Amino acid sequence: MATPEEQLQWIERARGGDARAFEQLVRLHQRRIYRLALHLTGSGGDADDVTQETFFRAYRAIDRFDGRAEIFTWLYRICVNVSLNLRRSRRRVTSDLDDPRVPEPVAEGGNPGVSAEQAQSYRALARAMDDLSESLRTTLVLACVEQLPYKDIAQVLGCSEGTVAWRVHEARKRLRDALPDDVIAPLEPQEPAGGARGRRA
Amino acid sequence: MDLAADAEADARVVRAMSEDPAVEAWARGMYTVDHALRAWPEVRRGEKSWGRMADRIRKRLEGAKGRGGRAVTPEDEAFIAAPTFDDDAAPPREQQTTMSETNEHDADLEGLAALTRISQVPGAMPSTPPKTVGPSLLDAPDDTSSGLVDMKSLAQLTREAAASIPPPAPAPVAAPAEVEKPAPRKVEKTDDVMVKAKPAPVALPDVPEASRKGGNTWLGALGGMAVTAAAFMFFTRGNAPSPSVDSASQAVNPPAAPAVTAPAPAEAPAAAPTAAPTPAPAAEPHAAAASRRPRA
Repeated sequence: MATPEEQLQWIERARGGDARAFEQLVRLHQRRIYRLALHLTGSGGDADDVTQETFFRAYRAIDRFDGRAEIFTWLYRICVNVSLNLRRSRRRVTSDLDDPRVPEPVAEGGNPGVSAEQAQSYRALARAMDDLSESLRTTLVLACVEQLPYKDIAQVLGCSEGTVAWRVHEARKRLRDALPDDVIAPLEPQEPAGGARGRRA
Repeated sequence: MDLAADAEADARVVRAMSEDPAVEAWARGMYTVDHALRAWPEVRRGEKSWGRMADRIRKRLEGAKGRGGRAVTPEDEAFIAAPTFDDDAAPPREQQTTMSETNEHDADLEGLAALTRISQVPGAMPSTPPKTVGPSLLDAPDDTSSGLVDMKSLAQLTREAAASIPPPAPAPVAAPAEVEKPAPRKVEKTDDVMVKAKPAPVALPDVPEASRKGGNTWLGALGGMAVTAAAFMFFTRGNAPSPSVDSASQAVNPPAAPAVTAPAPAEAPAAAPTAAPTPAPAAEPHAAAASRRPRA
């Protein structure tokens, strides 16, 4: 894992036109950018395109990157913008027959993974997320799937932390209301969270 | 759910969950949804696939060789700006606070600020000043007032004066430039820490046409300040004798002269800038104006 100082050096070299230096940033962050794009677009092919476009736009605008924030939050912002544009141009979510967001069920006896029931629940959860508004879905993905701190999300989206918290809460509430209990049940954690679960609502 | 791990839960929520099974089930489902999102399995993709993606990106970057950070087009600017959503959901209280918070004194403060603007508007006619309040410079023997200027009365004067000003012609609205993509950039109130600010273009002050004939804009501002002081002095005059012997009022009154003497509207702003550096010639119009003002 490259240190922040190393990443800043790559950025400086990229500003001078060194594409190889920028490629180091690509290899470092492409997985998280792709995951974000996948959850925002709902399509594997679109996520590939969004990932490439994100890094290309970032390279072109590298001079405008302000070092006060971390590079990955800046890449996240570009990814969100590219994903939103693509999704709007599509007018509807292009859902693959095999939704790439849905984890493949693992046969029993193999490595720990998701069961067929859990895979179905994730499919329903993915569809419910597609029905959320743009702002709620984007904020929810950044907060829960990408697990960014609210402070970083506020930087990415250019809003306040209070707005982030409200959107996350609102999105979770709508997902809960949209999913029946029997669909949610397979997704319950296998091991209860002990005392914390009893104390938290 | 978003509380710290060692934070105590809301007692009301805990009680509701213990008393109503439906509430408990709903809360448990909420917790499960959150857990499922956070534990969403990673997409399975081989290392070679990731490598191929990185190679494709590098080749595309090399195609833009020498342009790294050099050619930031307006379209690129849109991608690095904060996203704009179709819905832009925000908590109701947050939406209200995007506007400036109301203050019970806002109307009065706005009235005071309007003093400087009114003095530069052609044809501005002051309303009938209210009765003098507060003490004059020469206190009457039985005067027991505090001597403070009544700000509300002063603000009321400016509001009445503003009401006498004809509304300006609406400025022509420029047609918005067509943007194929992406969404228009939203003006953010928060400081964008991720993007370097572009150098702001030098904005020349919008000098009214009439003022250009008369002189410099700074003289107009000086005149506005003089109006404020004049109003202060006028309302504290009280039972003072004729203004012709009130040297202090003469010195600060010139900007009000054009309005009182009712010159041609186009010439009124011209008189204001030139009046400030030459208080002596303005003393005569001021004396005429003062004679028309009702005495307290």
